[in-house]
Amino acid sequence: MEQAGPAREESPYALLDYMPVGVFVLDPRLRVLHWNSVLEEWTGIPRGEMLGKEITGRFPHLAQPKYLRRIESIFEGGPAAVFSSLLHRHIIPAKLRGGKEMLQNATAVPFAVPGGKGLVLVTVQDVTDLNTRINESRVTRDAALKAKEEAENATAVKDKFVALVSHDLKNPLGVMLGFLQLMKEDNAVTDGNSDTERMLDILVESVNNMLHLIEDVLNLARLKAGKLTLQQRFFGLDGPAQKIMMNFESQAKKKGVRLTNEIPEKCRIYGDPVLLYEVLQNLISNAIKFSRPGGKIVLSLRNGGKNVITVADTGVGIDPARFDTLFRYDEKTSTTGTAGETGTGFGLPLSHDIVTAHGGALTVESAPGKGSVFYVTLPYVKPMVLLVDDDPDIRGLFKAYLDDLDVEIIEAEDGMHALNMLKKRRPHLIITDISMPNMDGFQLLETIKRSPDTGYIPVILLTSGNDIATREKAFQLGADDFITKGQRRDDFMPRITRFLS
Amino acid sequence: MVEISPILLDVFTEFVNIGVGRAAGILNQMVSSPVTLTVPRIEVLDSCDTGGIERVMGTETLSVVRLTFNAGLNGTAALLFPSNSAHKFVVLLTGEQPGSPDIDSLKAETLNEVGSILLNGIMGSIANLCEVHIGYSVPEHMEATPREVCGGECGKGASVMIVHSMFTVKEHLIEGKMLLIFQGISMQTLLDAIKRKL
Repeated sequence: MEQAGPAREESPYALLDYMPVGVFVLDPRLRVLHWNSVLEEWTGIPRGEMLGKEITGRFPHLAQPKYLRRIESIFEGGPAAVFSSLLHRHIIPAKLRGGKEMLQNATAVPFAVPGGKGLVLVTVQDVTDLNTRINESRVTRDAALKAKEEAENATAVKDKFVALVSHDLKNPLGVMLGFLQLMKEDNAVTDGNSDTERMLDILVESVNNMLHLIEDVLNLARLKAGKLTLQQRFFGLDGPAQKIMMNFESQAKKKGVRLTNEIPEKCRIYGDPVLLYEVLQNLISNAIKFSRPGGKIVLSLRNGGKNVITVADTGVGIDPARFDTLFRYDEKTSTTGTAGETGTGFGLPLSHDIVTAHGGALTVESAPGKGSVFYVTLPYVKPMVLLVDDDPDIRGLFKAYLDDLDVEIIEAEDGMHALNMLKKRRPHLIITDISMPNMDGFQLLETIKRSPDTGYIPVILLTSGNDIATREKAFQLGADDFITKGQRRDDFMPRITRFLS
Repeated sequence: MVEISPILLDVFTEFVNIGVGRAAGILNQMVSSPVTLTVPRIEVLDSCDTGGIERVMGTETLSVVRLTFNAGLNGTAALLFPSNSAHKFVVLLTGEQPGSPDIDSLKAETLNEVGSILLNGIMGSIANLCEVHIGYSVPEHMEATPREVCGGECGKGASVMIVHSMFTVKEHLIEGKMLLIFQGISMQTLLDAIKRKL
């Protein structure tokens, strides 16, 4: 039996023992002419046991055509063959320390030594480390993906549950509130008993609070489920501001807190009116909760009334250390109010999410004992008007009318053209003629108002006539205004600006 | 430039298809999903210049398996895939998933194996056709532009064939191209051999 050692150097293959990879040499009858020391170490098979023997005797898998035919092809003059670890795992099975299977890349090439031609030399490279790194990376990635999927599923189930439960709670509470109000109005129930009246008042207020809370939870669930889509438009802020003030008037009065509304008349802002109402309601409610008797709360506008709403109070203030957690759901932000009021702590995080969904920011300035100012900063939006008329002169006239306003104007020649533009652009106001080729103004109006994507955009119809039937049809289809061509600019402009900032 | 008539090109295409069919046979023994290989078209360029090759093959960096040949015929044979197709091909053949930084190393080795089987099939057909012995270099994988693959090979007297190849694995169609650059009289030797078969 041939042994590793100096005597080997006499062999024409001696050099192959110095290679850091497994090497064996085959003759055309697939007999092993050399089995290097690396292979001896990997397989535990001494060279003596391999030399002169057919490789397929010791390693029968190599008789499969996918090996045999390709090696034979080299003997027949074909090019080298490559055996990759991904497709074969290994060509010469070997165990690593610890019993782990070795993964190999191998290359078989034509080979010749003095006195021996037409041979094939096979080099075998251990690529286990590389494969192991890949597998480890794959396992880590799979585990991360699985964890992410599970977390997402759990969140989806939770959101669905919250939405369902909240909805099922809201309906019976609505019924309760309705009957309580009927009872309050029914003199036979109270019968002049002030205690009964007081108890009914408390019941109504509690049910209202609970409805408000459920609305918060529902909005939160919708927001988290991505189902709360913003329906943004320019709207007058003065009306909602007055309504909020009225709603909180008695509550503030009870605490001896003065509410001041400094939102000017005809002030317009761009956003989702329903959701921003919710935000302001939460901020005013909080301000009352944390104000002491004699305190003052002011709702106002900053930045020239364009896009910053503020709610300032002279209440107990907030420790700046709590600013970071104030808008987070996972932190307990709700603390008891100055009169023992409680809450869920949902209001501020939900308001924050609503404002953020607008692309804006909800921020606070405060210090303990110095009151707080909450800023609702919305992105400034330049109004966009879509003019639809087949007559370029009319479009030119309206463009001239709108020249003084800071608005972007886009134009379409007919209803069809306008609908195509609406696929890419979202104007804040559409002014359209009625008689147009391809698609007239009525068809355009109907299509716009029927689509949930565009239904909220105000549409003003223009026509040269002023007959009642046309006007009725326009309003039935959802027109927001109807203007007869030929009006003076001064008459016309207020009807446009009321839809814009 | 060596002229090649449509009939001769058809005959040659048949021979190449026999070679790739043999290669597909070997590939199918190695992978669980059936692989079909066809060569629908072979294009002969007017001249071997990098500009002409770039017009057909583009200028993007491709995943390439290349070998050179000598003795009976001289030249270069290369299989070229767009990088994303190469990646997809390996994923389909091996069932591996992309995403690991090291997968590229294994991809290179696997492509080298697949490419060498394919080039072996085609060069084997050409060697049989020409009844010559051909010597080959060890196939190597590289990421290179067509200009880098053949830049040094183009020159006076060289001829270029582009073998359009289609691979189908698990109902996915993957297109690759093979570039055959014949030096000296090799192209004429090939044409003479084809004519003898007619």
